[in-house]
Amino acid sequence: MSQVVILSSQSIFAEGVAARLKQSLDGQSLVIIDTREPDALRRVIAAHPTAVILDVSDSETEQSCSLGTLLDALPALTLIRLDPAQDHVQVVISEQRTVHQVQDLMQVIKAA
Amino acid sequence: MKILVADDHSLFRDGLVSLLESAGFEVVGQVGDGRSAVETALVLRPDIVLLDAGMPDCNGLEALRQLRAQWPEAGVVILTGAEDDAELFEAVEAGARGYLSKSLKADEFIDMLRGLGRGEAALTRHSTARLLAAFARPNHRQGHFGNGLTEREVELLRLLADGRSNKDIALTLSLSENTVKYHIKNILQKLDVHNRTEAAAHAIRIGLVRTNSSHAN
Repeated sequence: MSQVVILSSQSIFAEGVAARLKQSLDGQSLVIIDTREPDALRRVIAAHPTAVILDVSDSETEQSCSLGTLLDALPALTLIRLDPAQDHVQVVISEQRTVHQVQDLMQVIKAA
Repeated sequence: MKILVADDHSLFRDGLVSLLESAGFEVVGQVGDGRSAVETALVLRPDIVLLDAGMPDCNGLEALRQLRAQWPEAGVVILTGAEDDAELFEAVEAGARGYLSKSLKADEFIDMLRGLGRGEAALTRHSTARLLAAFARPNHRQGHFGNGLTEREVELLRLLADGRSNKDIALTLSLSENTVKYHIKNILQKLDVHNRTEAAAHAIRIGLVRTNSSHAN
């Protein structure tokens, strides 16, 4: 069963989305991690989620979550940034490759 | 407790509705603009109407006034994306039972709403302190400023005296043009003048509004 993590400092919006997702997610489990806990980022990584959801209107959440650390630990992660003020989401899909030469890097760029 | 939710951002509204339902509230309706909020509230008569302050066309404060004019007992809580003293005072003056930030923690928000059922106001300690400070001003009985103008009306008058158009004022203060017109109508009445030019001149003359040139003098 794949895991979805919601990183929230218990904002009205993030908690509401979590409540709705709990009713709707099929074949996936949902973990809510409070960003105010000192080991929040470690707990996200330990959960091995396939997707992490963040509320961009919640500054505490953004500050507590280092994108670099997350992507290093979870190379195939899908990061979903929810923006309730704009009714849109930003989806960052991570992929890890090994490159030895600039030419390899060029192929990655061309494929993007 | 029956609740009607009005917010133009459907993603936020959906999250808010599911939070309220998971906390045991009955959400009897949800709408995306102030006009629909007034119409729906008058039909459904919920215990609480949650109005987003920043909806286009008819914003939360405008909807609050319209609703209270037709249903004086309506219980309204304004939800705001960015807390603002002028907006807080206006909401309370217009009869809101609460003024809450959307960035409030979910458990605190739910506690505030439950408190409404016990006759409490839905205000944070910070908002309460701001209200008390405003109330403690010597001239509060005549309104926040001379001539009975509210803080928002003085703010708008400053822009008006600066020669700004309604559209420009609306953009600057994040209001609809209808709300700006509503405020200007009130300003003209309170200052007992006939048009915006007279209002601006009157305001400068009595020192209610200072222009750049009057600062220089």
